[in-house]
Amino acid sequence: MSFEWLKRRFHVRGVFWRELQDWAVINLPFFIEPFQMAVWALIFFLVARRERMAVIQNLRMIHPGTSRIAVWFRAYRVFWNFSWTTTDTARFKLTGKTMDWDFDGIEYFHQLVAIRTGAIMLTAHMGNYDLGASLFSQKGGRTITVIRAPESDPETQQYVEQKVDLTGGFRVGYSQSDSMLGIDLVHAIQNQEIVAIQGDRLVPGISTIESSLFSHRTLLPSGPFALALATGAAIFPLFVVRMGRRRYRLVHRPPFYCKRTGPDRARDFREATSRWISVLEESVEAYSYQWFVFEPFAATEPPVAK
Amino acid sequence: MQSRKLARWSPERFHLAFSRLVALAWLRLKWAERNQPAFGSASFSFDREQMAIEAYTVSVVWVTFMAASLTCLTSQSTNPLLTALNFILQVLVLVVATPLLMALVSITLRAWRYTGPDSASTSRIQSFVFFVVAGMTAVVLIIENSCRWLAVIWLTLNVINALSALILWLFRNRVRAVEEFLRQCLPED
Repeated sequence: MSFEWLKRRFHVRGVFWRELQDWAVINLPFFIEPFQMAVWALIFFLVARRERMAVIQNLRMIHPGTSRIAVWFRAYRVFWNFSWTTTDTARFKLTGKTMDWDFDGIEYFHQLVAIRTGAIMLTAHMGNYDLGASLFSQKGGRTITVIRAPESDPETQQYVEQKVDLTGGFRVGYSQSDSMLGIDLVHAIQNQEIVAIQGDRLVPGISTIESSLFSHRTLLPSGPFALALATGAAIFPLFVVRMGRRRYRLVHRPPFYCKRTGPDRARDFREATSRWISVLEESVEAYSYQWFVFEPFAATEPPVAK
Repeated sequence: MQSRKLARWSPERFHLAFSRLVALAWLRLKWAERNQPAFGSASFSFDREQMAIEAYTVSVVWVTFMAASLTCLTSQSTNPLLTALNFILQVLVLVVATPLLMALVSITLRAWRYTGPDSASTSRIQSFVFFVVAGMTAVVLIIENSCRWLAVIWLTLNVINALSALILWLFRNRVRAVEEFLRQCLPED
């Protein structure tokens, strides 16, 4: 038990906190939960300085002109909502208990369920994206492959992989710079499966596309659009928003395509990206208190082309 | 995907017997609306710890009772302002100390490791411990003769819950029928 081991284990992104959360989900009485959330969210809000400052910076760009106190309160609210959503995900995976759901834009949900070809579900790190995808595969009766960013701590990543729910046609892939994931995803879409990708946060090393979010230069993953271009699949924007204790809303927006219209591939990319950006901005502005991006979204580095 | 609005108030979505009885009384009042679909589309979870209003109420009642009891037992002052400050302090101590204490105990016992879906949940035992602690506090309040009214309120609430459980048991078939009807309102697709 070296100092390095302890440091890694008890780091804010360390595996210990996942284990403790799972223990709490299984063992603690329900009436302890509300103030557990408030306290643990506050502890992490105070301890995780880098993440806190990133959230504050993002919120200032989303809501310019907000007072210092208001932005701190909003940042705490992000951490508090994150505590609830990760706990709800853990409860679903460990006990199978579902939540209350309602729908915004149900006609697009029906369209996605009914579509006979493969499709791309483009989502953001908002609310309970993990639980949403898992429930979708159960309720919609479709095989779904969820692509997510790997955990920064290897032990946490190992723990998450062990706990992932692989029942009911639900698969998980990790976006890594050196993987052959793209080919697998093309095959998945050709097999009429649904691929869920988060289009708002970057994993270092993956290919990017330059864009503008809330009038700030940002880099978005180009993977979803490249996949849509290669397969001709429709892109369905979907956000899973927390509406209260164990209550969520599936926010569906109209689907769009990223199709080759001429020799200028970059222009097709830009058009699809701007559609996504307008949907993303609308949702992030409305639900900024549960946009779980713990790094600054404004880009300082040049885009990565692949 | 049209769930019925009343399904939200199914007794099986509540934990305490008293809450379940209140939900049943509410359903009886609104039973004429039982076949109306909800506005929009919704899907409800039939879990006994689902209702937010119950979870928050029980949480607040437990913390308030414990903090008020500790205030009664520790307050030497008759000044209402000092007593109010002491109460706020006790609330903060309880709210912050309980999660930390439980985390510390779980770390010490290395009991936080989740061992699989069949691992025995101790939530009922933990829940029992929380209420035993509250019950013992009420007994101490009565023995110490300080704030007996507080102990009486707590014990009365527990008696009401026990009576509710008895009423629910007597009408168990009817309760089950109502729950079953509302469960069928939940679409599978």
